[in-house]
Amino acid sequence: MTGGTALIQLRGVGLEVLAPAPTRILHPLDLDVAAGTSVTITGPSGAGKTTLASIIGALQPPSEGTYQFAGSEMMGRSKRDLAAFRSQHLGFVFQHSHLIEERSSIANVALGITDPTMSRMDRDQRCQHVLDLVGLASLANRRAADLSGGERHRVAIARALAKSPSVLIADEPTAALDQPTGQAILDLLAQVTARGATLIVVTHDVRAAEMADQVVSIVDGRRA
Amino acid sequence: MMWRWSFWVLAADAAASLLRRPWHAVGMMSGIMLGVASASAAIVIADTQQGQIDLRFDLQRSDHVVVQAENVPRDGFSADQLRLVAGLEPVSSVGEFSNWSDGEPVTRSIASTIATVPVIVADRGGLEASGTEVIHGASADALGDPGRTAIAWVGRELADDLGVAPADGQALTDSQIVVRGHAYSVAGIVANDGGFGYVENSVILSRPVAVSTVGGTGQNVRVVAHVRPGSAAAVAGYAVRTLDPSGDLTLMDKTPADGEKLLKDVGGDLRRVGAALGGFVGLVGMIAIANTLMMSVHHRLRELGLRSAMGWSRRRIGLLVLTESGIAGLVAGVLGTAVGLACAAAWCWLHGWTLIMPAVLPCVVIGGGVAASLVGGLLPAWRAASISPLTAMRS
Repeated sequence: MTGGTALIQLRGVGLEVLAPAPTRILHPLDLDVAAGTSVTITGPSGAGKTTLASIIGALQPPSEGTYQFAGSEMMGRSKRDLAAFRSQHLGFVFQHSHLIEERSSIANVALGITDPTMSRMDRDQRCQHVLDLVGLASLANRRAADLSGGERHRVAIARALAKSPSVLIADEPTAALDQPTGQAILDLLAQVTARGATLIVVTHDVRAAEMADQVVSIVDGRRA
Repeated sequence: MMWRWSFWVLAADAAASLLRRPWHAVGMMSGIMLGVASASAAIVIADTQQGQIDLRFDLQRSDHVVVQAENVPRDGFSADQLRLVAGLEPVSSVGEFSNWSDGEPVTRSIASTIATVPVIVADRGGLEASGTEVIHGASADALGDPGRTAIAWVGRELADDLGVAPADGQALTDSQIVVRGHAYSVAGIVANDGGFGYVENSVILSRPVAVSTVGGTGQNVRVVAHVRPGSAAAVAGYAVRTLDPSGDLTLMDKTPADGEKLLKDVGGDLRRVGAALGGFVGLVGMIAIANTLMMSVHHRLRELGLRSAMGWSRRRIGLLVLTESGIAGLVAGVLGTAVGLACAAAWCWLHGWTLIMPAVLPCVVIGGGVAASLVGGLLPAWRAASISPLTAMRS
């Protein structure tokens, strides 16, 4: 961890599932992530990287330990509270971008804005702005199905950035991309921390690890 | 305000989701459309058929009122009393038409033929009201002529039997008949093709003539009124109160039943059949929309999981699916109503019926379609709201 107060603080956080048979997915671990820093979670397939990211992203609760975000306890919160938390603080970039194929780039980006009080004009301006940030302003009205793999990832990043999250979680953002495109995506993600957001990247890509302020290595569900 | 904006954003999102998968939307809407179309067509056809039945029943319903008295003054009812009844809007004619005697021996003075026939005492209004027509001889106006005391009208069949009927194209000759020893000139021959067919085999006298010649106690005196079909029961009630305000005459309403209850029962049955048919097809449509929506939710697990991961609440995701369902129901309702009414109109046109449609029908069936869609969308909406945000992460 480099500098700053811990925005994310995990203490003894682990995950064990009971069905169909008791299985330990993630052994208890501690992790501090400072605001505005980048963390890369690496490890072999099935090691528990994505599980750790999903716990940090409040997508699933851990079975043990404590999780504090900006000093607030996350454990025991209702699903509604967790949804509101994700809506307010987190942005996600998934491995396969998960765009709605039949809708335009800008419509996909608009899905990332969950604030119902934002006017339509402000929303459109915001979407156009983030598309500009990822270099796709000219493709705002192109259908997602007609975009290349790199462009789709950029739209997914724009969607995650649309609500100005304080934490951006990216799961294998370069896994399905060729090397130059993957590098471009990593450069784009690096700009996120430059703008003050915290970046958590789950990846096998050594380039991502080299760029990170902190590297967390997970092997067989344990922090190595 | 925020809620309203949020709703329109949700509605736009739901509409976009439907448009993204037009064939899914068509499949989803077809069930409800079929239900709404069937319901609207069934209701309109049932209503139209009800109108046809009303029309046919009107032709069968009683068009006359009969009030019978046990104890009538010798002079019968007064003209003023009868005028009160005649003044009613549905009444076209009214008068006395009494069975003075059920069987009197009648013979022609110059022949040996003897028949035992009823003697009817009537006035002009009574003949008109009973639908009795003078087909030969003097008109019924002469029934009120006090100067002509020994005249009678004879029914068509009796006239044939007695041989007083004129040959085709010939005028009535001067004939006489004898009733209970009294001779009467045959003033005219009458016929009745309606509900008083026994007139064809009867002798008709005026009240003064009957009292002075045949005699009698005035039993079973009847007043007959010709009325507009469907109004018989109401007129009969009024006539009884008007003709016998004190109740001394023991008046009885002898108006033939006009099938009012049967008509209502048949109409109710028709409506129930129409509603049951529409409801059943609506139920099928509801299941169809639930099924299609459920498949749609299954195909959109990743998208819905993504929305959940991005912070959409379960409520909002459920509302999104429910709004899709409602929009599909609204569109299907409008289209289904149009199709149903067009089919009903075509059916009525083919049968030469006048289309009868309740004014509120479109609103009711469209509302029903939307309601059925919303009910059908509840389970898929719950399923969608239950999708874990992890689905997006893992898929």
